Amino acid sequence: MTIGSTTNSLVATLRIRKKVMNEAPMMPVPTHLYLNEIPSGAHAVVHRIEAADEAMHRLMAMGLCVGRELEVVRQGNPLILRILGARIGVSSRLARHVVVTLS
Amino acid sequence: MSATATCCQPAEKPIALGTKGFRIALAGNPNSGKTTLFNALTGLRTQTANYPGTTVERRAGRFNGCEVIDLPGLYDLQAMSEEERIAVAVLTDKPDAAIVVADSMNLSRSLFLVSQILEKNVPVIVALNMMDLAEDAGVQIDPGKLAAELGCDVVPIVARSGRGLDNLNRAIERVKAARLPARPVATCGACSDCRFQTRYAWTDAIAGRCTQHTREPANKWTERLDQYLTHPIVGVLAFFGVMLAVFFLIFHIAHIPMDLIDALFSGLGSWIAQRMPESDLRNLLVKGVIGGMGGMLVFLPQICILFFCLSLLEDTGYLARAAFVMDRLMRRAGLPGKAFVPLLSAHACAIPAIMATRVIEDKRDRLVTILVLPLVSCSARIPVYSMLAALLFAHDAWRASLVFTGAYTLGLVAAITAAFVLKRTVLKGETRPLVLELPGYKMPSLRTAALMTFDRAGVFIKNAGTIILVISIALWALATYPKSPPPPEAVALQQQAATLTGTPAGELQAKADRLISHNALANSAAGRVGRWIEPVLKPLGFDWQIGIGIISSFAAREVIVSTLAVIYGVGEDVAEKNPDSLYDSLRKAERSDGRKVFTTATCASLLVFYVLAMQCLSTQAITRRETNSLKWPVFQLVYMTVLAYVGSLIVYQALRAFGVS
Repeated sequence: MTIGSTTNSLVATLRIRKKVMNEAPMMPVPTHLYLNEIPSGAHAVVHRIEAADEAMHRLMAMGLCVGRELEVVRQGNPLILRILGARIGVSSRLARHVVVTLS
Repeated sequence: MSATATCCQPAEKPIALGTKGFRIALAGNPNSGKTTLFNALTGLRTQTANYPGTTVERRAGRFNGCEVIDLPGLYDLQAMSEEERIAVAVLTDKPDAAIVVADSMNLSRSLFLVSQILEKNVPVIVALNMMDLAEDAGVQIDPGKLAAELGCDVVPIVARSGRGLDNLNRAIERVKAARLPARPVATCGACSDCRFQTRYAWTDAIAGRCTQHTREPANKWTERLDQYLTHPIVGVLAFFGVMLAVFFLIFHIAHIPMDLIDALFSGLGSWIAQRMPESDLRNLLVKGVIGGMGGMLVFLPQICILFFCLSLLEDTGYLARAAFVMDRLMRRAGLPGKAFVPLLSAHACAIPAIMATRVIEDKRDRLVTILVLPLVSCSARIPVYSMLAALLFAHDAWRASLVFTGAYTLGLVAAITAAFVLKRTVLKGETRPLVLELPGYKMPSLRTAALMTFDRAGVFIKNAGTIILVISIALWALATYPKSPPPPEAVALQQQAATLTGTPAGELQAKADRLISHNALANSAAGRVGRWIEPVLKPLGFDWQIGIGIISSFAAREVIVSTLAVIYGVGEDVAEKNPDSLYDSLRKAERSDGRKVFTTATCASLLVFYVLAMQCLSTQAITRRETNSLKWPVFQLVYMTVLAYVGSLIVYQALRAFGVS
């Protein structure tokens, strides 16, 4: 009985573990980074934009809005982004206000 | 105005487009090929002016009995920038149709603008440009499907080659025939908190439904080139290489037409001089009108070559990379990367450089750039530098070239320092962060470059030409009136010449003429002003005769050389043909107390003065046009004159203190 219950609890634990592992990618893991912190070649999805000046509006009109996937072609100051197939040079001062999630 | 149009946008005062005929507004993203389409439609039948009360350029042309207005390049209609406000105002005035140029390579972003213009309730024709490039890149767009989704005509075109323009014309005819009221179209209703997100969700969906990717879109050439051209070090070196090539063209090719123009005007001058009796009118025509126009037009070849090269570079997509790599360096001085091309262009001439500052979006950044550009040594200063280098280091080419290097360095350093100071005082504010599209590289269009050059040359002649003409006449009058009788020595020489024949008589007569013109200038209003301001100029080491030179070269720096030739009795013609004789006379020139006029300290002081002083009215006329105010050209004149005065004062007094006389 002891063995049986141990086995049962072990199986249960494993089940839970498996469930947790399956669900892990869906949980909101805090991998938020600023756009000026991610390496060249990385793809990311825009999570939040923390500025609303004229330059940022220009960038948003060029397609950088929440939910958009983009690529950092060359990190640096200024850096090069690929948004909607277009290459856009952006000051790192502006990139500091864009929070992204690596994808 | 409909409800959809007002819900997001503030009400804008409409801008009248003109009243005649069918009016078409041409809109599109920057780099969408809008200008190429405008040129393809209108050719040379264009007019360039500013929108009233602004510094935004308005280009309009005629096509098939329609007036086509080229709106500024736009991504958005939210009226944040002056360009956007003007575009909104033009569209609010209800043109009869709007052609929106959409980039096939970037459909979703183009639709972002299209959807906003559709909401303006103007009949829209979407010109789907660069279909050839899209097809090459494996992107296929279904124009019929897109037209159905948007509820407006969609015409695939290739503006560069003219493909599809007949279809575009037919679409215009359709709108024209129907005078269609704008159809109530699919609108995205993007008035929520994040209008960008909502509207983009809508355009992404439409673009997705209308586009088929036959393979992964990629522009391998652009990727490969950009690895080098946007590199922080290699990119900067490449940029200097490109600019060096442009300068080679400006200085080595421009001098051929420049010499031609020079010869043409001096030929015209002597032709008139021979055919008219000696009179004030003849003098006015030859010296004032023809001299002034020639002095201005001689810079036209440089300006044209510069604009031609810049337009080609812009068209290839390279200029965006130049601004990108220079951005970090320029930002330290408080200027955006885009200011670097004007700053380099100013080494040829400040006028095209000031006109080229239009690419700088931020008004304050642009104004600072305009204000400091004339400090950069332009080619009009070369004759002055040559003269002073010869006076400072006669027959020593090595040291003379150091004078040139020093003067150019001083000019560039002064410009960057002035920008730094202005950005922290008069025009306080952070430099706008860079947001700049790096378009794919492509072959430039010679036609676009030629039309652009033609257009800029027209602006230069119209704006600088009129003021130069007026000021040349005024300066001529200052140097001519009041008249004075010939001096006794000259009369004596003339009498002596009358008794002789042959060469000796000619020489005596020439000597008498030189004395007469020296005397006339010395006693003219300019001469009197020169004497009057001598106390102010004395601490700089200048006497009243140099003062006359400075006054006469107020409109154009290079004039000081010919004025000094007259005042020191060499004669203008001699000085032009044989500059060494001018330099010799200047070296020998003495003040009333017997000291030499052109000492090392005086020459160095004069050099610094000419590096830093404004002394160019054509530039001032262009500054007025480009800033749309009188305040800024006046400010420019005052600060540069003060800077030049203080700079010369320091140099002269320091050299004197160290025992250099």
